[in-house]
Amino acid sequence: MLRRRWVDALVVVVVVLAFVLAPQAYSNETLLFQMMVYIALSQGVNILYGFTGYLPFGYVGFFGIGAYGASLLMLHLNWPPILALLGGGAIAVLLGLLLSPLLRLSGAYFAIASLAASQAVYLIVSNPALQNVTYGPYGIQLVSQFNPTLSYYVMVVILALTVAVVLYIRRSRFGTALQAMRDDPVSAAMAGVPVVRQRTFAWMISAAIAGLVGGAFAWQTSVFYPDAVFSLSISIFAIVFTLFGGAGTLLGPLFGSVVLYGMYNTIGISDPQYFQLIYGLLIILLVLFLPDGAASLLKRRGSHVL
Amino acid sequence: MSSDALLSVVGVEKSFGGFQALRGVNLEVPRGGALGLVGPNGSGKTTLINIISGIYAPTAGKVRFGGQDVTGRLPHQMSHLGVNRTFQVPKPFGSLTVRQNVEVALGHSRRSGRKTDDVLAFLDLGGLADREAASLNTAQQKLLDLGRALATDPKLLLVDELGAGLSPADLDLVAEKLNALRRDGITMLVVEHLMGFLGKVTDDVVVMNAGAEIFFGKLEAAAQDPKVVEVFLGG
Ligand SMILES: Nc1ncnc2c1ncn2[C@@H]1O[C@H](COP(=O)(O)OP(=O)(O)OP(=O)(O)O)[C@@H](O)[C@H]1O
Ligand SMILES: [Mg+2]
Repeated sequence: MLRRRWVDALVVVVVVLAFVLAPQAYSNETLLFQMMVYIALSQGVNILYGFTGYLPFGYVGFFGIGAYGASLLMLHLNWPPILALLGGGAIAVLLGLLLSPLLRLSGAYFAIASLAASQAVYLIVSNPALQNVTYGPYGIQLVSQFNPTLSYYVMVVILALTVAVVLYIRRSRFGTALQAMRDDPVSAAMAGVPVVRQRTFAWMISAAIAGLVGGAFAWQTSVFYPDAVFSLSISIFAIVFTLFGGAGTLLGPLFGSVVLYGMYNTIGISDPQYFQLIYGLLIILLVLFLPDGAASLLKRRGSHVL
Repeated sequence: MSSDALLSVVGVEKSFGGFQALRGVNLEVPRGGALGLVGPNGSGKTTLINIISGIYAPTAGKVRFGGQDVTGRLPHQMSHLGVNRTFQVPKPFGSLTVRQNVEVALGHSRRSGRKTDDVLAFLDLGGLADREAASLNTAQQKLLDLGRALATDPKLLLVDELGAGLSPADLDLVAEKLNALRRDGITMLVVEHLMGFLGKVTDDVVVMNAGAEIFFGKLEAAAQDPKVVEVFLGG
């Protein structure tokens, strides 16, 4: 047990150090920031999909509402950025609570319904009629709060917390119960697990992560349009990174994000639409042929993947 | 209605769409007793177990457990109250180990003072403790279902065709175990097609046909009952 704690702590420290030191070696801080965004988002997807089996195509809705929630708290109420980020996370959790009845749906129906819900949120936020509140289609400008360095380090903290939460879930009774529910919800209920409550809880943790990350993204970017934070490709990326690396593990989604997002940035940035297509296809192939991702290749050889 | 019944099922009906799977079932299991439930395929035995364990809500009728109306309670609530079951087609947590399967149930039980190792040893699953449950054969998975149920320390155990597919030697072994559990005070409702097995583990039987009970009494008497004979031999 003690050794595991050390391993866990070490993983968190390594992730933090990597992103604290990386800007010294590599000057493109924006890319590093976005890589953190995707690692954290894919861990959020991981909590939901890896541990409960629900694939949230609408996950970007939480990211977008977090970005808007934090921005509007800064703009309308003059909240300091870090407090506003927490507010954005809280708003995402509220949205999660509101949408929790979707968890009654299964499989593909849930995936589609969550997607529809995220698009509904997008349409509300970007609606010109709400211009006084959300600035509608004209987007957000946080110029006076612009602070790329501080927002970068805040994102490191959010990432570290996310990794720690996933590690905790993996080790805890809660995580085992989630996996039991994924394998067989009826048996889990008979074993005494309050299935709906636990699944909703996982969903809200996952929403909180996306909300915080969205807020950090808004702060870092400081000028953005609604479609930038509600783009379906954000969901697709987070899902494909998770599936590619291996849902249900910690290192899988981390590995998937670094490799695939890195690839996207080196070769895909000039023609992003192809990457959406390729990654969309990759999701289908992975779900069909390698549902447990790259990590399962190692596991087949008998290695344990954290 | 006798006051020492641990379980009473009163006029329970269940419809799936237009199809009526249960048409007003009545039965009682006395505290500490073991009631057999037999009937042809599709007569509604599993559906009744699903209703008692909270997986389905009945369309009409009542389920009483320990004198309390528990109709429509959710499965995890029934589990916490002390009602548990096995599944006709076993339902393990396939990606978890055998040990973890039992631990999930132990960890979420409100009542249990049992230990994982004791449960596994009782069911001769100790040697498989670290195996992934998906890799067990059907008979082992059924025992694991039983182990998970026992981990919650049930007062009432609903057993759905635990014997099907077992070798005669294993059947005797499982019958022994059910009887040991009964001696420990667990009340049982046992669904089974194998009459020899049923005779070993139950006192009385209820015979069901087409969603209603048609006989209650001793197993030997059932074999003499014209209605039962007609149902089983085809009238
Ligand atoms: N979820 C369901 N939806 C629709 N019909 C169902 C459902 N569950 C059971 N039934 C139907 O209800 C009837 C009773 O089924 P049940 O499984 O209870 O029978 P059984 O007595 O357990 O049979 P067996 O001995 O084959 O296990 C069957 O006709 C079955 O098809
Ligand atoms: Mg049945």
